[in-house]
Amino acid sequence: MKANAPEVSALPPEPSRVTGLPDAAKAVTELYEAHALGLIRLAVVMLGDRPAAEDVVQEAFCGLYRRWHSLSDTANALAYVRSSVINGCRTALRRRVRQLTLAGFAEADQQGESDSAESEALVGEEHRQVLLAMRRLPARQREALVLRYYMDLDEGEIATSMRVSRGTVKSTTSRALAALGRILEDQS
Amino acid sequence: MNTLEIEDRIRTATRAAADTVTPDSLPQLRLPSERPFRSPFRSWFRPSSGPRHPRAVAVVWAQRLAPIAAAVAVIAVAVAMVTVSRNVDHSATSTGSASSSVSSGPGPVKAGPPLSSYVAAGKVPRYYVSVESHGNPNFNPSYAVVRATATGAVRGMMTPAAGHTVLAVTAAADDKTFILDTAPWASSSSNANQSFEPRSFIKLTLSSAGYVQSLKGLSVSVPAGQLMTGFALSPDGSKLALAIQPDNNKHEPDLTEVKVVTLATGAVLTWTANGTIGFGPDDARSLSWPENERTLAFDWEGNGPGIHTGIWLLSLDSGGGSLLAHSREAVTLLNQASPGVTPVPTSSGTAAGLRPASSPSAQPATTPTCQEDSIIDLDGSVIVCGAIAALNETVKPNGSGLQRGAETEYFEYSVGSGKVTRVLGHWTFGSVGALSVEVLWSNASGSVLIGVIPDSGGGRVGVISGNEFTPLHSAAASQPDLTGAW
Repeated sequence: MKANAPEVSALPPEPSRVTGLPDAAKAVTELYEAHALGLIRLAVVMLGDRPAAEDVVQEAFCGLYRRWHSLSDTANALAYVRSSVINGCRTALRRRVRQLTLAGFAEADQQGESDSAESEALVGEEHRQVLLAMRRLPARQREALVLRYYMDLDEGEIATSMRVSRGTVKSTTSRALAALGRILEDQS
Repeated sequence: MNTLEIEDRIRTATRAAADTVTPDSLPQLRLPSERPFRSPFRSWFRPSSGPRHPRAVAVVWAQRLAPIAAAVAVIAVAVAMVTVSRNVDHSATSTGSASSSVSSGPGPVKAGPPLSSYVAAGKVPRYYVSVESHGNPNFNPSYAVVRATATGAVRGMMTPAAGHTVLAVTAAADDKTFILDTAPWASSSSNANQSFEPRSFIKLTLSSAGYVQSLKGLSVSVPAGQLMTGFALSPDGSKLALAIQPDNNKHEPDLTEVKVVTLATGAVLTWTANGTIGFGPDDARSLSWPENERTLAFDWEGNGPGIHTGIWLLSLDSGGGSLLAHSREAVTLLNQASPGVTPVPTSSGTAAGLRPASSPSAQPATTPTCQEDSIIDLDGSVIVCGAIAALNETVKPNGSGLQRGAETEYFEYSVGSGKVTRVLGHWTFGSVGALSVEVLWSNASGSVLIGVIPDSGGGRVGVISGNEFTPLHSAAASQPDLTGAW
């Protein structure tokens, strides 16, 4: 992880070994308070949708809480929950494939994505064009771009996160950049 | 626009999107009220006492099973890495009635007949094998459990030797032959990537009573460094189909191989193309077989511009070569690259008249669309798949989180026309947790499925038929990432 990476990459405060429900709740809550902002931001970038992003992060922390006692090392808790968030985003994107139909795009474009992270009022027109273009990429390509350029992960870290090889990361990122360039040029 | 400029625009745009989330706008964490999850076996041993550490459970489990394990060791000698346990039935807490479990679900799903009646009528297999673990499978090796479909009762358990894990399972259509996908366990503390550990396969055969009759290590393997994204045992158990991304660091990083291995002879046929099968490693539902075994169905995402996913049928008579040249796309699930090609079942009107009479009449703003993983039925005439769309995602009135509903549909597509020919289940849920949907098994005609519907948590596995749902028993059936095979 790079030094200037978003705060989601920060090391977790190491919670103490817990044996009871109140302690588990306390530890998970503390972890949430320390890292929810970064994780929701990551999910927003992945999904382009604030409510869905909050949902994914909420589910990730609930999953952590339910499985707290099965963690062999609670110092891994942030790694676990971050992985859960990325997996949750991946699942959400997969489940929402229907939103990527042309009809869905047309509808989204017409509505101006008023409640999403792509809202022009929130991010500005130039950024909005890039974010909407990213939404038109296949889920794998978008994920690779987010991990590379938002999270600042290197190819090896992305490969681990996406559970693919470095070669696939390289080719996926390359194709995504090319496709994004074409989309942006078409828009201009 | 050059690459550096594009990269810079991505960085700044994603940062801007992230910054729309301000520190003072974070929702409050809402933890579930129940005790943290510990072990799927907790209730079997201490149903009325307090929780114990998972490792303690495992020790007791092993102690109880040791004599039986020794008794069946004679059939396990062929597979040194696997230990086999046969145990008396542990009936699930539920009685087998569907209605009690369904009523706890989130939506107006009509309860189907009891599982026992499905089993007695031969409409669903009597046994299945699920992959389970003590706690989070990301941090603990998994093992295989044989369960009775009707009751969830455990008929046996296959635990890999130390240092190994079971990743997935696929089944023949004879209700007794399964193949386990196993690999060395890559712990979270190691630098190893579980996805690229070498795969080996174990053939598991059940007796007519559902107990482990034999285990046999297969000569088939996937070398370290290769990524297996699909595997499926043929209906008669004679062939194993694999989807593999070989050494991706070479000239063709997106190369996918489909291999069909004849288990008796070791003969291998190979087809190749650039693109992706499956949605991740060890996907046991990205490939499926019809009964004639002359065709293999596979989900496919091409690597061209835009999203194009569909279900393709490979002609195995071709004997190998180009995957796409010897295949045809039977069902297009999504085609962003070619406007108008993607079938939209509801808005096109093709599915509206096919829905069950008890289907919800209200139409959602968007239409559920099938995911990549779909199953061809045994007679090879239809492909079945599950679809889901979120409904009315809103912030809860007290601002404490989100709430949403979901519309779930199970579609049957004609292999001949690529059109929806039947809606096997259609439900609207007022409030759900995860958007869970998946076909896990289909009968020969596609009229009876085992699949997942959403509930307040990660989803519920059960039998789907005639717009009715009968939930499976056992703790494993309520896990969202059930990796069982029938």
